[in-house]
Amino acid sequence: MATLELYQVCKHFGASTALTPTSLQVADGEFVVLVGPSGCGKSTLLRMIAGLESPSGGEIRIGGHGVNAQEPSARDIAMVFQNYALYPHMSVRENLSYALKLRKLERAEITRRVDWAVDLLGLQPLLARKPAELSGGQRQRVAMGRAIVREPQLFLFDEPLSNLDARLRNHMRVEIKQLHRRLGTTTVYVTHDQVEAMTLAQRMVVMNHGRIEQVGTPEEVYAQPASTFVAGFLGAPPMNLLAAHISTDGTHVLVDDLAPLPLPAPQPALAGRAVTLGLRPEALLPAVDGRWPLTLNLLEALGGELLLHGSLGRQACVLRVATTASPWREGDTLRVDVASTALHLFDAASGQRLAP
Amino acid sequence: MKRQWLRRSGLLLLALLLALPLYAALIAASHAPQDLLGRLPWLPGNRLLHNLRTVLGTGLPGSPSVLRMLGNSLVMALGIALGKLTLATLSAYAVVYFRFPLRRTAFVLILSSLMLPLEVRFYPTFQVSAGLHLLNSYGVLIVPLIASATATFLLRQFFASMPPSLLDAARMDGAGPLQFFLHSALPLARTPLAALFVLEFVYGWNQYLWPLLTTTDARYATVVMGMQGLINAGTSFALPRWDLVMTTALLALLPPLLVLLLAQRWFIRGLTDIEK
Repeated sequence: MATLELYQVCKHFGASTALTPTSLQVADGEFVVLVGPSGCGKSTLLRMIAGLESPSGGEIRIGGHGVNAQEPSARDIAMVFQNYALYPHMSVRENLSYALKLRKLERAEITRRVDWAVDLLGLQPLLARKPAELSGGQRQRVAMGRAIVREPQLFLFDEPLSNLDARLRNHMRVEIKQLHRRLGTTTVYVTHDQVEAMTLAQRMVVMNHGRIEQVGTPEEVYAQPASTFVAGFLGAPPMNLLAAHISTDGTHVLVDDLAPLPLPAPQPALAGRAVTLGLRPEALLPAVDGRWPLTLNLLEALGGELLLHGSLGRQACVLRVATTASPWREGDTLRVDVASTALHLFDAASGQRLAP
Repeated sequence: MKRQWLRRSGLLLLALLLALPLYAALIAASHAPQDLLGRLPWLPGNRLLHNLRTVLGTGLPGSPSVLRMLGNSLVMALGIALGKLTLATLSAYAVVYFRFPLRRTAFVLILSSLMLPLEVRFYPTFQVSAGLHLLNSYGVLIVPLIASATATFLLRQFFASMPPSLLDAARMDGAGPLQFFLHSALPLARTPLAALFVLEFVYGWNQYLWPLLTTTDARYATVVMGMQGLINAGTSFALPRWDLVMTTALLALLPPLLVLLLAQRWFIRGLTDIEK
């Protein structure tokens, strides 16, 4: 187990920049998730930590030692790939022991470690099979086994659940979390799935366009998104982002020609400024005497809850209501209230968080 | 139903047509020479074993024994097939997995040699072989023929189609380039390798003009090229020995057929065991 530190690590492919200089510290035993849309640089960053790509600049330190010049196998790390990358011609047992054989470990030690991983992951019935004879979930489990037999300082996961169906994905997510709890190995996990990120991460790193947008616990990032990108990326459905501006006295926020919404605290510095108002779907509540009228376009019933798609003024908006039966119908206009403590303000131009 | 019956009988007819020369050879090989004078019997005779023993043991007067020629052919075909596979696997592996200057150029050069088969470069290749004092040796039968653009190209496509994460995983596991080649690339390529082996073995076995040009010593005669000498020798008697010539032809046919039949099982395994 070890810490991982990145100092101003960057990567260019020819003229294009995959990753702008990025710094990040991962504590010993921590589970960090890199999350972002495809092409945001998260996989490039992971591959540089693994040593499969070399950084164009900056320094990577694992357990306090610079590893830039080290081969992947010398870094004492293990990686689980999106398509598992099991050796197709080797049995499960051979797949698990291959790295240990290459390291010239003693036969007894190899057997001990493989048996331990097999017990931990329940691979006993699969040992003699080839990867082609395994289901997706079983392959995923073997790939994890191949990583843990090496007893590495650092685990890297590259979108390990993307190739699984939804049900299995939920199941494996829980397994990965339990595995981390048992082993306590420092882990960096890459995904584009915000649910995986929210549920697995002790700390999450939201990335976009080759740079870090925000680092924090899932709760922090959800409650205080640092930018409109983060706000729009997390949550299903994501936060409503409405074009708005602040009243000239800095006490209200104005959306189109709807009734002014009071700010929880006056923001004289922002008076008159164009902003983006962020409201979570659950922060808008239907109320008989609500402040704003909402024209309902579409209803989605999800069983325990209801998504109301409508328009506030001229802007589209989604509400989430915890109810099973809908008293409303498409085309209705209802009144909604806003919990004023639940509003987020972002700069209209840069998208950066302003207040509160 | 009726159309299917028609189609099948059409296929059967074609198959019979193709088998006819083979049948003629079998008839000739199983009779005494005097039975073949002026006509070909309809049914096989009973002298096949006798004729086989004659050609394998003593051969025809004035030419080496067929056993020796078969041996030469086997050395040549195996040498060419194995040489081609070795060279092609290594160069395909290099072109796919190594970043070296002029990598693409090297590949294009290899590919463009497809347009220069042995037949169009006889003269320079002969010149070089003669200059190296290779004439009349197994070396000259094999070495000039072991570079194969086709095999390199096919294996390159195969290696390029393997998931790149396999290499990543091997690097994480600590396998070097040679270990990845021996432990992963080579075992995974066994199906295309088996297919290529059959192709190249038959190619090597069927070589005619090159051995004819470069080996004048009868000790290095291959069976395909020696057939022509046998026909001369066999028909120079008052009683033409077509029985022995045809026995030899049948023998020359067997090894490629055997290789094909054996490797067919590999093809099927390669098709059913999808390992990617």
